[in-house]
Formats: sequence, structure tokens, C-alpha cells
Amino acid sequence: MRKNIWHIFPHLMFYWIIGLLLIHTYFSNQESSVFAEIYVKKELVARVNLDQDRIFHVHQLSPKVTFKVENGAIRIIDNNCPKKLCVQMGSISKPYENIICVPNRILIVINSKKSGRIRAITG
Amino acid sequence: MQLPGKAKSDELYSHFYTFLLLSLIIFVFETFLPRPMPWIKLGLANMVIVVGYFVFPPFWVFKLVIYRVIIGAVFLGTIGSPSLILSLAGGICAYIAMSVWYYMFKNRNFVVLSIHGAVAHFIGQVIVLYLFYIPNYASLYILPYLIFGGTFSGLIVGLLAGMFYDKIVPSEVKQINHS
Repeated sequence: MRKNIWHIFPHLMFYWIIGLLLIHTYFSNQESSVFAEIYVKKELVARVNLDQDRIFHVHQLSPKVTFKVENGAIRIIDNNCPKKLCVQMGSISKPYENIICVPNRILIVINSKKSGRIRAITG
Repeated sequence: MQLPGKAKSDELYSHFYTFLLLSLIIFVFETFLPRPMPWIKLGLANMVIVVGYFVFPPFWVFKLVIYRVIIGAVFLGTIGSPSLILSLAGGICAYIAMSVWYYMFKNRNFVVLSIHGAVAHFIGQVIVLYLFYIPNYASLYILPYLIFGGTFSGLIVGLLAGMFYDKIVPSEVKQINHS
């Protein structure tokens, strides 16, 4: 009935290898390309990759509206609207976060190739 | 079930409820031990269930698992909560895995049974958690760590089950042979 205790070792190895493979698959999917979509008047005007840092304008808007990509996050650093709420919304980096400017009708949404991926839940 | 006779059957029933009470006592007293997180537990009550495979006919261990989960939930006050559903799912999955290893593959090793039961318990729990409570891929991310933990807790529980079978289970119970 009882065997040598080392006969359990292949069973342990089996599960450890399964666990390592699962961890590997989970973390290899982590660098899914996340990009920001900029909408002006409900129209997609730019799709920005968040990997490299840059400061840019969009030609549909006035040059006063300045976007900045830094450390994988995007933000509006300057705008010509009166209250500058979009500037105060800070930088966004995670899918389905957004920045809205009502006077210029700008919407920035982060999206990822793996659509439908919710990154956090509460409650 | 090929039982020798009525008297033997009654005796076996008494042993069954002794095992059930023993696993319940271990289950309740294990919650008094300090734990790093409220949902991390060694599962010492399952050593009685592992030994149950070597003592009882097939499908009695299933009854043992179900009774232990439900009455233990009544004792701990978690009946009607998600933890009862998760415990049931884990218990049933562990029963299926251990039955496969015991009855199909004829592997009569406490530690092997216990390891496979522990890991199957975690897998069933995470699948039910994903299907009914947190339908999000994030709930599956905990699975590899649970598998690692399950191997070690299964190792400890299996060694304890072997000691339990050797030292505590009386010899007339051991002589009942069902396979």
C-alpha cells in the first residue's frame, strides 16, 4: 500500500510544471499593446501607441491642444477651453479610462488589442 | 457494496460517523489556528477523508465529504455564503480526482491521493469562482499560486493521513477490504 516517499516526486513535478506554465502564459500576455484613441466630434482622429514618449498635436484641433505621452500614459497638457478640466484629469494608462473635454468635444479612451478586458473590479 | 453481513454493515456505519465527527472536530479546531489570510487554510480535516478511501466502500467517501462540508458550514456559520458553495465545489472536485487515482489507477498512496485532491480542490474552487462570482480573467490569475500551495498542503496532509492510518485507526477497521 505504501511506497517509497520519493514516488510522489513525479506528481509534485507535474503540478509544479503546470503552475510554471500557467504563470508563464499569464505574464507573457502582459505586454499586450495598449493604445489611446482620440475622438473629436465622435470621429476617430488618432490612434496613439503609448510605448514611446512624445508631445503632439492633432490637426483637427487648434494647436493650443497639446497631448503628451509619457511612461505609457497619455494626458492633455494644454488646452484652450475655459475651465481646463481635461488638463486636471491627469494621465490615463489603463483600458477604458478616459479623458473628456466638452468644449472641444475631445474624448480620449485607452483601448487594448484584447478587447473586453476589465482590469479591476470592486465590490 | 459487498458487505459481509448486517452486523458488519452497522459496524461500518458507526465507523463512518466516527470518521465524520473526527473530521468535523479537526475542521472546527483548525479555524482557531492563526492564518496569514482568512481564506488560506491547511485543510487538516481532509486527512480523515483520505484515510476514508482505505476503510470504506466506494461512494461512502463522497457522503463523508458532503456531510463534512455542510455540517462544518453550520458549525462555522458560513452556511448560505459563497464559501459554502466554493467548499462544496472544491470537495466534489477533490473527490473526483482522488477517486480516479484510487479506483482507476489503483494508486494506494496517501500522499499522492492527498496532493491530487488538494490541487483538484483548488482548481474546482477557482473554476466555480470564475463562473459564478467573479466572471473575469483576473480571478484565474491566482490559480498557479494555489496549485503550488496545494502541492505542499497535500504533502503535509498526506503524511499526516499516513500517520493517522498507522497509529490511530484500529486494526479491525483496517481489515475490511473492499477492492
